[in-house]
Amino acid sequence: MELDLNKEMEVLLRRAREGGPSLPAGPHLDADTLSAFAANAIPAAARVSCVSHLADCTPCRTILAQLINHPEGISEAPAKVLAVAATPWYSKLFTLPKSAYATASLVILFGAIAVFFISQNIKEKGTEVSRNIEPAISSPKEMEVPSPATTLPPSTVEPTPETVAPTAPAVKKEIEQPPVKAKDMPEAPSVTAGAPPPPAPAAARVADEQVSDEVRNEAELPSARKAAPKMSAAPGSDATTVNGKTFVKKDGVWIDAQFSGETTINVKRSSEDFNRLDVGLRDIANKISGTVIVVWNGRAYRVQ
Amino acid sequence: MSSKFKSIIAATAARVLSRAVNSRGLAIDDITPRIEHSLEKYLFKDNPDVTAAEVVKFIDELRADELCLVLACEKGDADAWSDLVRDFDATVKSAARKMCANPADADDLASSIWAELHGLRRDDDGRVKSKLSYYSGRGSLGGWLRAIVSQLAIDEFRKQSKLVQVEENREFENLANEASTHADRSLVSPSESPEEELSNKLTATHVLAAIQEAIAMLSPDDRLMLKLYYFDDVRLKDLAATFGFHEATASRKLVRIQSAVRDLVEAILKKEHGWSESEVNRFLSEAAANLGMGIEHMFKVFIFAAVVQEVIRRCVL
Repeated sequence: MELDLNKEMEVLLRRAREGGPSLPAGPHLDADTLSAFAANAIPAAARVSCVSHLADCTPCRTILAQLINHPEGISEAPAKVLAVAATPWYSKLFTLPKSAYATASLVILFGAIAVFFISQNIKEKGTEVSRNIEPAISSPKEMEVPSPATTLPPSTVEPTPETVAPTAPAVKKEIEQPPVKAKDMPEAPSVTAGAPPPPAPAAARVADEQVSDEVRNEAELPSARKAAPKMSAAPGSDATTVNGKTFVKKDGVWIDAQFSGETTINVKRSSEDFNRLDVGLRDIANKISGTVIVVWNGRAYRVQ
Repeated sequence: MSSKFKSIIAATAARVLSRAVNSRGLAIDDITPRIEHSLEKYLFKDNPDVTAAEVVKFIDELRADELCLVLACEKGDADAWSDLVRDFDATVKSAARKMCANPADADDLASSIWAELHGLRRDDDGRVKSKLSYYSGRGSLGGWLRAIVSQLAIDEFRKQSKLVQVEENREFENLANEASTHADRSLVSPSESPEEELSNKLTATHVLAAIQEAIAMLSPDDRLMLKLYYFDDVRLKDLAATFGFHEATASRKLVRIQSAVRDLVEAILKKEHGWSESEVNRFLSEAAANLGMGIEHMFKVFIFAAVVQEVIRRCVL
């Protein structure tokens, strides 16, 4: 509550505490009277004499002010809470048994987090390995679609009874044919639905006419999903050739034979950056599962 | 004490015991003497025409649990003593720390308090003297203990007044010495010339003396309220609670008191120094303004230092 006080007088009065006489009327008040007065527990008649004394006795008035200014001194409840809470709660956390429990809990928690992340990493690597192995040993029924980048407008597709409807089983049916050829032929046909055959680099013009025919046929495939990457490598081998480019597998990564350790441009198959890549580069990346480093037009791309 | 209240006292004493959460096995005969003593001290002494209703009201307002605790301690109840120490040792130590400059002295003071309460002293007749017998149950036991600590601290300080006083014992000094003898009550800030400074000092001294005289002319209630608020920095709401009225009432009273002091000061200055109305107003304003300038200057320095510190912290660190 704000007081509408004369500021001058307020300043002067506060300074006036240092001076002035103090002639107490009668003997000093005892502790019981002071505590009762502070609690407003003195009957009116007795209060008069107390007030008369306190008005002029600085020591008694000072003690009274201390009692008034410290509520715990005049509260009904005893100081139990003060005694019990002598130790702050945060200090109790650092007492020996509690700190031991806390430390152990933290160790277990961080351990669990570490195990979780490690297991996640192992899972991802396992998935990559399984993807690499699948094209060689799995049946055509398994249909992995590396990325949604091969989406084409429906108008480019002329579905035939044999062609794949945009459903997994139908696509599987179409893909059944190429794996046979993938086994027989060292180079897997490029399957980029709806896209024209990529302009293979000069060094990669080993693709024969059969492959180009197949490419045309398979270009009619709907835009949906493609089979697992067609790699000419035999299961378990560390080398393969895709679209005329040779790749060697090292530490789980297919590395272009032309790669000489330069800085790579990292691209994810599911990203927009991947869609902006050259068709040929994308084709290669789509044919090889997992992480692959491709040297394309003088630059090294790491696609994963 | 009128015998007509005996039966009322006995009946109401029984109510005190029943009100207590823990009456500690006390009987009416254990509590009645203390109640009668309190009645005598606070009710009958200053009011010969006490009514039965006032007696009943007085007894019903006693703090039953704390009174029973104290009485049980006086009877030597070990459990009661344990509870007393457990519940109020912190209060005693807190009060002792406020009165003493160092923790060692505070512990000594607290120990002395407990010794006094246990009654290690004996009177001339050899009976154990305990301060517990002075607790009436009207005020809180914690407040009573704090007051005991303060008073004992003052007594100890007076005994040791020959020792060198440290600055931290300033509170002691103010309590033990009833009148301050400070000569340096400067209300002025440094001025340009010694003559002006002397003039300002004299003016300030006159103003201060007039204020003291005006305060002395107030009624005891007004004087006590003014001193508690301005001298002891008691908050308005606490002041209102102590005096038993609403905070708004307390604020209105303080405004009235301040205005009364102003009027008295003006009258005194005019009468004793022959100052005119305009001179009185000017000198009061100057005295307050000088102190205000001093405070403003301190605030400016403080704020500047705080800003510089913040800038250094942000830019350097």
